[in-house]
Amino acid sequence: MRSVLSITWLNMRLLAADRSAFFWLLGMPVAFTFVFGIAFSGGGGGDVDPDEIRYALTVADLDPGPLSDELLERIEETDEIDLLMLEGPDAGEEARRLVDEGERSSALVIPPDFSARLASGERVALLFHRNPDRTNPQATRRTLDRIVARLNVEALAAEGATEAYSLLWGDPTPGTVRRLSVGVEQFVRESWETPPLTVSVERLGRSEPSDVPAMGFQHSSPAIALMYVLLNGLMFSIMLVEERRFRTLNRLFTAPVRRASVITANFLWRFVVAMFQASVLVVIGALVFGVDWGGSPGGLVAVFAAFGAAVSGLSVLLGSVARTTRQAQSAALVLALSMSALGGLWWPLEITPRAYQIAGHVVPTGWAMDAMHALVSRGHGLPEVLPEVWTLLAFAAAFSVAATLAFRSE
Amino acid sequence: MAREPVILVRDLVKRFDSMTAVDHVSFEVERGEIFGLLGPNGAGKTTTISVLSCLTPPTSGEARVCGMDVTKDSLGARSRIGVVPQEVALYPSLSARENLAFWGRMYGVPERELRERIDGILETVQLASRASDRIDTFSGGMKRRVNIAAGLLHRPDVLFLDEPTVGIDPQTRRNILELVLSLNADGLTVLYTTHYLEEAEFLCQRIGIMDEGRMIAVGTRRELTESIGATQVIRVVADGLDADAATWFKDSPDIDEASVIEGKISIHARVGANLLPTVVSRLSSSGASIHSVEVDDPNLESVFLHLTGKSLRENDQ
Repeated sequence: MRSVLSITWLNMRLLAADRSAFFWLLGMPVAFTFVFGIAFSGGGGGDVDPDEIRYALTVADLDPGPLSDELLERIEETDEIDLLMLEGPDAGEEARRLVDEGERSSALVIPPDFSARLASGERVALLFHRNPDRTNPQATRRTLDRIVARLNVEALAAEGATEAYSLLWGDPTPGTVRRLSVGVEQFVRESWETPPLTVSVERLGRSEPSDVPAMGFQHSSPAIALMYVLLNGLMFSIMLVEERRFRTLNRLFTAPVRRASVITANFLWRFVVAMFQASVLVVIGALVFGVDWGGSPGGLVAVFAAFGAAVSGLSVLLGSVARTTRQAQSAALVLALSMSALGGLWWPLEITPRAYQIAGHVVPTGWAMDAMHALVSRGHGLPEVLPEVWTLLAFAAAFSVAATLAFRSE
Repeated sequence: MAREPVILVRDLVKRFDSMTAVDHVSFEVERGEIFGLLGPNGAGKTTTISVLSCLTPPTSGEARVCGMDVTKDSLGARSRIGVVPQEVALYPSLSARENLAFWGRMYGVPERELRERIDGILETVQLASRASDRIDTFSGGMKRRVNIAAGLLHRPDVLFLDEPTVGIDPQTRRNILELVLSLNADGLTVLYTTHYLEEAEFLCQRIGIMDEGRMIAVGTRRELTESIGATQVIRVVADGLDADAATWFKDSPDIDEASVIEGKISIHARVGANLLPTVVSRLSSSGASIHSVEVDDPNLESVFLHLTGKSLRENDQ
């Protein structure tokens, strides 16, 4: 036991002797957390509130009549869309070109006879251009559909009222039609706020209960913490290669120390450093970036511990099979970056295609991020993340067995 | 009952795939002895030490250290030996004291004795004033001395020194050889491998000569040279030498061989120094003008040359 602790302490002392290690262990992750947090927050540093997002909509209003103005007023009243008006007789063509060439994400073209045809009771179609490469038009289109639906309700209700009047009292005069129309509009406007049929949405968990991913620092803090535990852990494989190069590992095996002790110590110090790094990053996440890590410290420790164990096993394995420092360094970088990308540490797996999500769970990062998501975003506890913890421990066991078999002093 | 040697190697074989690195090697090292393994690179010296250090198991044969079989009681054997590898096997970013403390703990030195022992061993290797300095600030010679200190801290019964002077300057080399002699004077048994025959001759009480994995001779320097009937060589550089000069000496019953090559005559005789006046007188009377005379004792180079048909120095290059 003394030899295990001595080798563990020695390696941590070697790490501490390298001043740059602290920058890589803590400085870089904090910087990355900040950058990714901002990038996924949509600005301002806080998480995105979907209700506060405003999208731009280019509009070519070719109709000289009053009903197009009313339509545009209704759109502006939503506070969800900023209108970018195009002027001139070629505004329609210009709107099409701008969207087609990707300069604008979407455009609404109101035809020249919009008011006239609506007034005469004819059917009218608005033209909505959208660029398929952009996602904004989806939200714009939803807002537009909602307004058009309401206008349709008003128009159909007015038509229905006029029709009912005709059946009861004969053809209405133009003045009656106007009064019926204003009355129905008034009625719909008031009734719209308290419709007879609604869908009641119950929000569960800390964020959306469904597949809506956590964003901002709620995503970047745990993701970057996992990524740097992985990256630094794998980079520690270099130290094993260096120990062979300096022949200190060989010398160690001439001392009365069991092989199992040497291997155990190599797992242990990597694990201790991983837990230290994770702890500091969690505290920094909470204090500096205001991350709410959820209400289950036990769950958090279990996930980081299982992930740290898996990373430690992989690190010793990599250090055992790599022949040179350069080999270990390159492999560590490739493995860490690819596993980060695949496992949803750079972007939420929930926004990726199904096949990508499956591939993300071939590596430990996918499971670790799932567990983090459950703890941090949904407020789950240790029992809910036990499947992920066990899976990570299975990874740890597999890597450790392979590392033990591959471990060599020369 | 005879005391068991500190090191006992009997019919040792070590193969790596199809390559035989150690081929049926046998030797013994007695307590308090400096035993040298001499041979060119690739002779099997380091592999032999690796087996004795429990780094690699033997393919067959027996290897015992302090009575313990290196395969059956590896931990026991390892606790009795100190190993100084050929390379400086230390942690460059740690101080000399930190390095020694680590190796002391690995060899089970009690914590309460550690500091005192480190101070003592640093005094022995004359590095007490640099105890707190990082190893990577040390000169090559200083690193070598700490490397040796790390093998001594736990007070082993036997010290394995694997070519400890390779690639170092003459001053440091001399310091290390004197340190080894001093340790041996205090009773330490040493197994010393080298391919420098001067070191083996200077340091070792007995020498085993290895080549191509085999132990080709074992004994003291005198035993080795006598075993091949090695002779002293008188070399005379002179003007006016001709081929007949060699013939005069060949006829003498005390002279084994004589030859003249490019103004230099070489005369091989079992006690060449006694013949020196006769040789000088004979050459002078023949009209030769003598520039220099030297007498070379038989050495391990002659033994190696005799046994293998090749020079140890040639293998060095």
